[in-house]
Amino acid sequence: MRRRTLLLAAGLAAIGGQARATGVMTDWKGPPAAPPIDLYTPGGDPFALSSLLGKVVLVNFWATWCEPCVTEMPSLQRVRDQLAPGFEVLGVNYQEGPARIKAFIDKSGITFPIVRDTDGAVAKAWGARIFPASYLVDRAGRVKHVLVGGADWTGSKLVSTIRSLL
Amino acid sequence: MKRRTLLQALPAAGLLSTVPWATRAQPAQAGWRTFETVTRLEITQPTGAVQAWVPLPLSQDTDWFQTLENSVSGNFEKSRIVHEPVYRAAMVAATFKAGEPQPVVEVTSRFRTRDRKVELKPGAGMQATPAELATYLKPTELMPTDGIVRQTALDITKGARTDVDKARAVYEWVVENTERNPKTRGCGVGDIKAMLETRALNGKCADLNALFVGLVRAAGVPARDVYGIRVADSARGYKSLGKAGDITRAQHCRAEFHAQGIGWVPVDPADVRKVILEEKPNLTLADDVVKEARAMLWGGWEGNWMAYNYAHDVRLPGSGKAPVPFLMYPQAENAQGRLDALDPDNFRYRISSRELAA
Repeated sequence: MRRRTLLLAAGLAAIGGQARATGVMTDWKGPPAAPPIDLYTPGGDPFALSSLLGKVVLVNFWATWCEPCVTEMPSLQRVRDQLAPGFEVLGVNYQEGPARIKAFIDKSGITFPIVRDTDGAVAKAWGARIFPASYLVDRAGRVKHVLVGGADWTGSKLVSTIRSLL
Repeated sequence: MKRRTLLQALPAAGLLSTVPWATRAQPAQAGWRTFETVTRLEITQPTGAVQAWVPLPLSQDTDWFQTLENSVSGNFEKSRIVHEPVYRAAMVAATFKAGEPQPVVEVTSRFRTRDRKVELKPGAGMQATPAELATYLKPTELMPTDGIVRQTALDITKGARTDVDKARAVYEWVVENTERNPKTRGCGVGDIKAMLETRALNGKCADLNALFVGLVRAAGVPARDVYGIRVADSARGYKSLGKAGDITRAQHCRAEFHAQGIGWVPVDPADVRKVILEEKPNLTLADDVVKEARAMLWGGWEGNWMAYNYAHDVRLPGSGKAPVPFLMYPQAENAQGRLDALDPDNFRYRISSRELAA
């Protein structure tokens, strides 16, 4: 199996600099209840994180200008396909317009749900300042693990972490 | 005696209404140049009720920049000029009826400005009130002055005694330790804590000059970002430091610090890094053109730029959304949230500038 990818050219959501990715999720230290996500998709449909209760969800904060976010997207799609239907990825785009996001989705073949955090309030509520930032939420809606920086989500450690919640 | 700019908040209704706002006398003085900018917003695919906000030129009178006139037109239901309460940032706030097929608002601003050079002598710069100084020592959402910011500031300014010494140390540190990142969206965001924590000391003006401002504040010296937009080519020959005509993507923020006994002093370390990256290929700090820019931008600015405001964490009036970190771009919101201000092709706004005859 392929080892994790270290994304050294990582970007920061708020600033666009370097983030060091470990490829390993750490335990979530914040309040257990996942902050609500009630946003719109690029197509204009409302979408809520609460609609995914009962599934393990990886909430991934990203932007098209964030290189490591873009780099890790295919592996997010693969791990989602591998572990569905009990597992889902929810991509939360940071402050970009629907045309830009749709163009990216069309080009990359992403099929998991994407929502738009147009003013950054959801990212702030989750404490996501450095992008990509990914939060693993269990079937009861509790945040369990976090990983800041890009990764190969098909790596054995990450898949194992997700499987542990399924 | 100068007339004060009177910015009236006049409601306007109906199609393509035009509301002229204030004018002021234009005394002829050496070095002043007069410009007109036009900012036109079109919301091409409105969803529900639309609101828009357009930054206006600096509302405070200074000895280097004076707003002469603002006017607005469009098919809005209502528009008004609002001054954000903390920093007096001025903006047009326009609301459109739900169902308006193509909301449009156009703001025309006239102002005059001139080159600025503050010699580091007593009373050379504009003075500030104690309340102003207190404001520009405070942390902001993305510019904390404690923790790693404070520690870095103390390290940089170790041994510096005066405000000028401290600001100079930070200026040189920013010039020498940061890089302009051409891939940064817009002008950057200015999350200086994240920059220092990740050692990602790169970005554009809103990052690099925010780093200067935050570090100087953390060292106990008042400082502020000055958000604005380039409006003319550089008369000093820097092709990277000017933009005329279509200035839609020419936003640029500068910085000032306040030295006790001297006043506000202009600086722009971010533009030193811009010269290095863009003026010619393969420039370094050792090249003459960079040395000249580095010297010029310590205590001076070229008057080819329109200042908007000094504001951080701006709550847009009438919006239920989060504050914007700063107001340097037109903003708009519809029923599905805030539009992407850094995507003028899809958000659809254009900003143009022209110099007016004296």
